Amino acid sequence: MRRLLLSAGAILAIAVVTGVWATRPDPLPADTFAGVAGEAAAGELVFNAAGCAGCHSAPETDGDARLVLAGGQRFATEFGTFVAPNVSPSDAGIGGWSLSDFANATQRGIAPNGAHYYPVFPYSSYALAEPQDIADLWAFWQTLPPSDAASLPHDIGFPYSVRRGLGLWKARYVPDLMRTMDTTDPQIARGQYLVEALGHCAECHTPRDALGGLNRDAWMAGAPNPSGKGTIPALTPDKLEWSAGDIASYLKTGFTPDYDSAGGSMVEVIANIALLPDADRDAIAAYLKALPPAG
Amino acid sequence: MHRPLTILALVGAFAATSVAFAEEHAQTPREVKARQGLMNVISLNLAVVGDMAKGETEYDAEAAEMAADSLMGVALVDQTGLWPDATLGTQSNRALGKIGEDRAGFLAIWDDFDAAAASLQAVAADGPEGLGAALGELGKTCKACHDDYRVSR
Ligand code: HEC
Ligand code: HEC
Ligand code: HEC
Repeated sequence: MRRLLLSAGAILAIAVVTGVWATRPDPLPADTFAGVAGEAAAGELVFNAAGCAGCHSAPETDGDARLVLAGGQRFATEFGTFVAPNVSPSDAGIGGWSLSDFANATQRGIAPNGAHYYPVFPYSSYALAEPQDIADLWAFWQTLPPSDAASLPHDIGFPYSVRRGLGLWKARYVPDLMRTMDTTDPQIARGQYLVEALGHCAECHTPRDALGGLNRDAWMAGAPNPSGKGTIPALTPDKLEWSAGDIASYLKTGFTPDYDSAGGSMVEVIANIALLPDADRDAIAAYLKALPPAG
Repeated sequence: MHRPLTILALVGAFAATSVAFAEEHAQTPREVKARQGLMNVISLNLAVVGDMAKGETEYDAEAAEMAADSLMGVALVDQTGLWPDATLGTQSNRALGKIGEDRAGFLAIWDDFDAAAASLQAVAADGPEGLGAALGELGKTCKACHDDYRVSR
């Protein structure tokens, strides 16, 4: 009996220890930014490609007002409603942060106090970004206007409200390399980087499994809309029959090849991607045309 | 400018889409057919100028001007009768109930469309260079209205 109790206690202890171990934050190596100097001018392109303003600008803003990252946009998901926080360089935002704080948040989903962020913040894509791009982005961040708007709480229920559990989710879903395609073509490789790392296109265009992780076997095969209404279209060449020129022009002008205007959450994406140079939109199109068919 | 031609082109395209719609949806109210037909007239004429701006078709001053005139023709159509309350917020088309609740806001975007179509009309015959910017302005009005007053897919 005593023996049994002991082993039950041991199992419990092991469970607790492994649980804590598996859910612990896994920050970037300390030397990630050694010898990397950020450049604000280059960071603007990263900012637009990554669409940070698409989520962090105040609701319904246009033009230069989009640079004020006051937060407040709401994202309805099956796990609850998340509200984007103020991330402007101010006391109400992330004014006191270091580059390392910023990079751990953006690429590892870890807050300065060690808490995990929810994956609505697409750090599992940004994890693939180059340190140089993150350093440039942080330099650009310092040029953004401050906002003193208070960040609002999320509206999510138990058990999803427990951030600790996200450690397991991350161990399972945050990728450490781009897995969908090997390519030697520099244009396709650039497109892959823009789509998979910065543009986080798969976050909407790839279906998710029951735990909310991307189903990589159905890469870009289209997905139900997280808002609950309708579906998000597939982008694989067997499903999306547009030419590369059509895709590039859609991402620039917001017009489909038959001249209807893009709608839904894609409007916000286009507002950002339209600011990139033509060569980058052509690279995105080349990557999409090179994707394996969804079947 | 090419006023008689414009109206003819407009009526022609309009009639063609209406026939297609009539065959597809015998029960669709005429107001819905009319406004969806107008939207298709917009799309088809935008395609003429848009493909020239993209360099997909060769620039043709006369065709560009006629397309711009047709867009202006749509802008001149009185919208008040085309969006009756009974046809808004239903399953059978994409017009949101918000159109009925905010008619002033909806009509204000039509005014923006009117202004943008006029700007395109002013530059359409002057060469392909000015088309992109004018189309961008026009595109903002489609996006603004579809964002607020049309069901997204
Ligand atoms: C799809 C929407 C979305 C996009 C795109 C997005 N974020 Fe966020 N971000 C969020 C949400 C939601 C949170 C809150 C996460 C949480 O509380 O767990 C967040 C949190 C953050 C935080 C933590 C703020 C704090 O006070 O702790 C930072 C920093 C941040 N985002 C920076 C960025 C950067 C940099 C980019 C672009 C590279 C970006 N975000 C793109 C939605 C987004
Ligand atoms: C926030 C969600 C979201 C993200 C992120 C997103 N998209 Fe989309 N995308 C959509 C939705 C919704 C549509 C459908 C638009 C419509 O209804 O008009 C769409 C449509 C498209 C289409 C047109 C497909 C068609 O059949 O109409 C293309 C091309 C596209 N997206 C490319 C991209 C690329 C490239 C990226 C990354 C840079 C991206 N999307 C990121 C939501 C998203
Ligand atoms: C002032 C509002 C408004 C403006 C401006 C507007 N649209 Fe629309 N559009 C709508 C609404 C509302 C619908 C849905 C109508 C319905 O289903 O009854 C629609 C539907 C459409 C459709 C689908 C038609 C169909 O066959 O069902 C197309 C294509 C379209 N619009 C193109 C455009 C383009 C391109 C522009 C800009 C050049 C534009 N629209 C400007 C409100 C607008």
